[in-house]
Amino acid sequence: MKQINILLLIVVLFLCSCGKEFLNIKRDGSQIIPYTLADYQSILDNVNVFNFDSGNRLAIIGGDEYFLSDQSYASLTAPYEKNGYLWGKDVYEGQSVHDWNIGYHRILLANLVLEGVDGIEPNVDEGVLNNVKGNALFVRAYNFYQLAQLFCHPYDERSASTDLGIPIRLESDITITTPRSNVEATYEQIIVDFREAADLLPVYSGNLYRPSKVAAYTMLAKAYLHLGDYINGAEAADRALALKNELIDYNDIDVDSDLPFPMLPVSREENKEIIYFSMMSNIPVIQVSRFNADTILLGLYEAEDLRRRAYFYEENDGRVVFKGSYVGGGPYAFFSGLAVDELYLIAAECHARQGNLQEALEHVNFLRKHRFLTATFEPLANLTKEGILTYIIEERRKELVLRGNCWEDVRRLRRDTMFSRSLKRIIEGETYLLEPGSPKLAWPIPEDEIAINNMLQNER
Amino acid sequence: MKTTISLILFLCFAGMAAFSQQEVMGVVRSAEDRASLSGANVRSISSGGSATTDSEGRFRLSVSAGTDTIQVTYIGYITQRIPINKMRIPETIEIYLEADASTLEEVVINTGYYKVPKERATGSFTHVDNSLLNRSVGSNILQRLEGIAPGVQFVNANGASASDIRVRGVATIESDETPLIVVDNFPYEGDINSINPNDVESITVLRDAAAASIWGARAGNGVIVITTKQGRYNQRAKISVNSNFTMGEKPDLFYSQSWLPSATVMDIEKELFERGGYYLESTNQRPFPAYVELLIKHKNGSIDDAELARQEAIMRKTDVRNEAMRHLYRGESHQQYAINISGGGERYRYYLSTGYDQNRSILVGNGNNRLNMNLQNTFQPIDGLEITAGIWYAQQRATNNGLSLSNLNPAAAQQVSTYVRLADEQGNTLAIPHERRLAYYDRAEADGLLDWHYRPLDELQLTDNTSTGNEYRLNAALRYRFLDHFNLNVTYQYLQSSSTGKNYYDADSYFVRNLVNRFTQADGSRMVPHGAILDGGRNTVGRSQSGRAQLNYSRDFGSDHSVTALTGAEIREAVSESSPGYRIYNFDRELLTGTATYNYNQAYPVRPSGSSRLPTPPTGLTHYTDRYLSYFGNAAYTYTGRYTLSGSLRWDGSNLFGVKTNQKGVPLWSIGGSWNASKEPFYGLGDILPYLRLRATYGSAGNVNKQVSVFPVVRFTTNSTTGLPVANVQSVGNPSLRWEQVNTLNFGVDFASRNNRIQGNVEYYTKYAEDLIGEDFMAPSTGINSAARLSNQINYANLRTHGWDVQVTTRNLTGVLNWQTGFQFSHVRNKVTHFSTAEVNTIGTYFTNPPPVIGQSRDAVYALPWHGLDGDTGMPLVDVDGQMGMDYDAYIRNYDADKLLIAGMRVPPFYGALRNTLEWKGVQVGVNIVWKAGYVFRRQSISPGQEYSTSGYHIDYFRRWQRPGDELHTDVPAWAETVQPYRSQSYLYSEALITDGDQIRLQDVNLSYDLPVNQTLLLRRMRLYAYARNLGILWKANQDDIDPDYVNAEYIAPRMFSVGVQVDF
Repeated sequence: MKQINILLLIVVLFLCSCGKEFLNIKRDGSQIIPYTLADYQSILDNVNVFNFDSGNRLAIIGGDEYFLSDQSYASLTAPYEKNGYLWGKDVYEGQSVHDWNIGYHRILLANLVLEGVDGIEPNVDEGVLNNVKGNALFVRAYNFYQLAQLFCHPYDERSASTDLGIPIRLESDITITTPRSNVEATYEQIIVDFREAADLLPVYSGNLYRPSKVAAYTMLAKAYLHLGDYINGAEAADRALALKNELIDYNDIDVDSDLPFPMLPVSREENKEIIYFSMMSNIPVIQVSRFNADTILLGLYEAEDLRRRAYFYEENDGRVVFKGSYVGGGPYAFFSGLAVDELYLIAAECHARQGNLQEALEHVNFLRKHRFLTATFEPLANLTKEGILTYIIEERRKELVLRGNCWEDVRRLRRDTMFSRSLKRIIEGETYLLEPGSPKLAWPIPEDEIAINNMLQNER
Repeated sequence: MKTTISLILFLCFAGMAAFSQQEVMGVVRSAEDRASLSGANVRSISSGGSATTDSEGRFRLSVSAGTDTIQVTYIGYITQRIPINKMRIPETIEIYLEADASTLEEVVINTGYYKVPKERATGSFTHVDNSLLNRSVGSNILQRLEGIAPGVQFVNANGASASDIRVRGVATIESDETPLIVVDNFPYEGDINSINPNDVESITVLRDAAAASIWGARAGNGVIVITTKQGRYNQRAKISVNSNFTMGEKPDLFYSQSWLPSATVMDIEKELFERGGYYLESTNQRPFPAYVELLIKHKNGSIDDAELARQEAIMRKTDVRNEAMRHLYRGESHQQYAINISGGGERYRYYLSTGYDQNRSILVGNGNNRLNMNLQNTFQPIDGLEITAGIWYAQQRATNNGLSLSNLNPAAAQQVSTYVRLADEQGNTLAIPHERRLAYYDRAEADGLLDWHYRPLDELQLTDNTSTGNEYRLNAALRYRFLDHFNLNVTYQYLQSSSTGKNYYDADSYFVRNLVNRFTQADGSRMVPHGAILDGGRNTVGRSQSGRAQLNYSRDFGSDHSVTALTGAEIREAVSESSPGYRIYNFDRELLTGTATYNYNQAYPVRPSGSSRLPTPPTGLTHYTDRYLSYFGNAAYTYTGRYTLSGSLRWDGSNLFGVKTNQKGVPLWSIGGSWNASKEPFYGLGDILPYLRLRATYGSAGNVNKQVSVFPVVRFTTNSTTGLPVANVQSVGNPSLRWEQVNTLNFGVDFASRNNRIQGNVEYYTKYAEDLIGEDFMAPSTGINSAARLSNQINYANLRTHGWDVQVTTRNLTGVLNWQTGFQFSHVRNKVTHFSTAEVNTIGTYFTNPPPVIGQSRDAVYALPWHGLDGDTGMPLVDVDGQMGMDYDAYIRNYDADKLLIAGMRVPPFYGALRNTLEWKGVQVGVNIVWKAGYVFRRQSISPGQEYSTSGYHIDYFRRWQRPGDELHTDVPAWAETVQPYRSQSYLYSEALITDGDQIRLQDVNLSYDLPVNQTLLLRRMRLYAYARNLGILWKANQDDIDPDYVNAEYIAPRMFSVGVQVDF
């Protein structure tokens, strides 16, 4: 009996002593508890989350670069597309909203990374640390910026401190709920994050899917342009242009090809114009079988403008379909990231608005030179400020097709006496208008957010 | 049962002198299997002397000279008295004892940790013995439980895996619902199909906490304990051979109502074609129906009117279901052969078996076979020490080349047109629309491509998909009995299962031709060679090791007190891993050569449009490790056989649980008591109910969710675009994660009338499932939202389940004709008592995938009210703010989910079975009738315009409202040009289509004949049997020709007939 007791005791002691280690093993071998810098970099390298699922579908849906036939419209099923196309009052019909969800999901990951790298021991490669940190800050601000373009009223310096902003989430703790901020605070956070990111990030991060110093300055310029701060905008754009300024000459590529640009370029050698890669997969409202390029937009292209051919092709039924530009994979996904062309246009506009006409003209001409048939290209000259601006705004429409800029410009320029414009849709004979002063320039906050987080809804 | 005594005396006539005392020698055996019975008491009636049989059943006894009678008693057997004639004393008396049917009922239950006579068990067990298991025929062991085990419900008819089974309803919301399967005392991680039913001795289902809580954190869904056959000591070799053959009928594909006749389908397609705008050419060449292609050809002038008419006539006559039944489907068949040998000597026993199953599946080209081998040896090197070693091996091979009706669909969510033809009169195989337009494929060869058509009947020959599974199970056990009342048990089990698969695509298969053509460049160069492709090497391996040390104590103090107790520890690890395999292009089957060196990063333009990389060979590996560490104890005390008190305690740790949980050490436990009222001196019902026992238990068991993570975790993959490692965030982590807890309260009454004429039990239970894992809905701005594929799951939800299980067996006739009836009744309901649901759910999800709602059953079927059809338009009437109308958008969009009707339960809350067995001179007929009641299903139908969408046809098309007045006798709305989703929902999700599921079906019929066998011969038993299952419905509540077990099925499981023979030596 005694021996047995001892034996049993040994067995139990053995099991107890190994118990803690025995149970302290992860279940799934490919799951990792992130703790190294490389782990955090890998979280941000998840291109499927950060680059391949653009969070500004509503900007594309609300813009007027395309139109739908009655028939294609009738066959839409997703409420946000169907109602969004007509800027309806109820847009989501209770469904959750992709742009909001993906944006905040990325912000959560960015915050996880920022908190994670904070706890990392100091003896790590500072360059890598800065890259990861800068990357996370950029991602956070980039998504704040996109969310602001969709869910806040356009910036108005007179009411920005009281206009409703987006919830500014700076912590990963999911048990915390965050109320809406104001528009002023939203853009302050965006500027702060981009500035810090610009300090931390390298000029080029190894591929086009990671943000870089250039990308951070470009976004700064973009944000300042929206705020109407042309001095800071010009400065940021010039800084970016000093680091990256090459354009693809459309005379050198086969513009009539189905795929004029390299597909899913990874490095700057493959596509020298891209600053930061992002794309929008083909959601039903803009899918190939429905897409009709806006005829007014098509009419803007001059005969010798190669962009008309590089960006669009004609379907058998006569519809003109967008080729997806720098994604390079045909009409199934659209480029929605940042590229040098936009940078030139931001720089040009900021300079023009300040009266630096010469610089503005140079930028516009440099861009046009790369887009027009060399044989017949003639630089613009002798233009007034208004004249140059007219060109710039028009160039933006022709150049930055279906990247979300159309929507952003309509918002930004709503109070501009020269460039504000109404958008129009016609479905089953009925005309729908989105006018410059409309509160519908901000999409409603998703209903599931309001139900759980109890925040204020945008008036519509 | 009338007591029959069978005594076989072999008398050797030998003259014996009559002395006053003389000695007789003999041996006592069991009449059933001739096994010697050791420890039997043999007594001389007149002299009073007695003896006990030794380990070989032998005895020597002094008897009175002259006439005497000896009495032989042995527990579980009927006592025999044998007269001894002084003149005719044989040298050796062989005594065969007949098993006592009434005491046999007092089965010994195996929980996997201990065995307990049912008499003394406080918990709720369902014991299925060998003869009941062998009523049915088939290669799957779990399937045999259908309709014979009370409290065990098959959610899917003909289910064959644990996930088809509910033991006493559900006790979880989002976690695994499957009961724990235990084979030979350890949780079974292998493939249940690898177990040969012929090796199974019995099955015990542990239903309440007192029964199951010894299994701790994994017992919350009930436990099914499978015990395999063992050899016995001192038993001559017994050989049992069993062979049977099963034949199934061909399935009837015309059962499904989701079809329309060819002519109607053609009319619909023609109408759409003529309407225009529907069959629009797209760059990716989305397929058009074959008839539309024909109409286009006719319109283009490439075929004339006569040709069109000719082809139309053929189409009208064709029905793809007939085609499929002719070419793709057949009756199943199963062959089973099994042999086992068991026996033992004084210090040695063994069991050896082998089995082979050959199955031909319902689809031409599909089938599988299984080989089982099993050897178990037990030695007793010294008294009290027993060593067991066993090995099981199972090999399964399957081929999966068959094509089902749904494989003929041209594209996802596009139903195959009814007129599609697979072969012409001459037997030439025909092409059908598949993935892209027929017209596009027609052009392929002219464009310098390979023939691109898809001909299903050719594909049957051109692909070869096989899979193989192997499973080994090794057991070692050491049992040491010491100090009279103790025994130490150390057990170890190793299980390894592996499965691998291979897909071979011939160079002429559509798979290869399609890949080649897609990647054929504008200049005609092929990026994929036109040669066979082999996908192989996929491998899944599971390994588990379990060890257990257990100390048992059992002692009777005097005649009144009896104590049993056990304590022990268990350690387990289960590892499963899978490796991705390879793809070889241009594979030569003869030479085994091929190539895999391609540039998978290069994007090529592909046909018909777009660009793509070559499909990269799979690279994903998985590796899972589950570890458990448990301590357990169990004790029972019985006083005077009347009162039993039992208790159990178990502590579980696991790498699935959070650190906080493992540290806390909260145990799972149970207590129980039973009172054998009939043994009380004051019990007054002895005449009517000689046996009456009451039981009550309470306790807890757990359930684990392997999908939830304790840590913030990421999963690494390699991104094909950047080539960089990518971390997908899987979870933000939950360090407090623990098992779900199921507390069960159980009351039971066991009773038996005189001579066990009526016996049975009634049980009532309530299960309180707590700490259930549920998704905690977060504001999407937290980043936890539907875009994230990342949810926050925590232990917080509650569910209550309660029900009744009643089982009654009656012996209606005994004697030459024996008639026995088994009656089962179960009732079970559940209710969600705590759960957070996102308030903004659109009501649509309540119909397709109902969320758990507080106060409602998890099985609730929701419906919209039905107000009939509008008399003028034939469209559904809906109630918007008290006004009957047709504003469907306002109706559905604003419908308050709280106001949805609960149309009924999806899973029957009432079910049971009635089994009658008749026996006459070795002929036995058993008929099992099962019934299900109190539940509903949502019938399919057709909504306005549905025939023009891809959501499918339905014969209700012909019952549509057509003119005013029709609304009085039909609920099927009128025709419309297009589908309006909300209008469709108003009908399809309404009460009008909720159908009563109640049914009574003939589960199976079993017929067997035990040939009279001369026991002196080697042959002990010879049984011929026949068995039929899936015999169909005897009564159903619905009038819609729908079998409630096969609501949305393409066909009803066809009737199956088996014949077999079992021979025991």
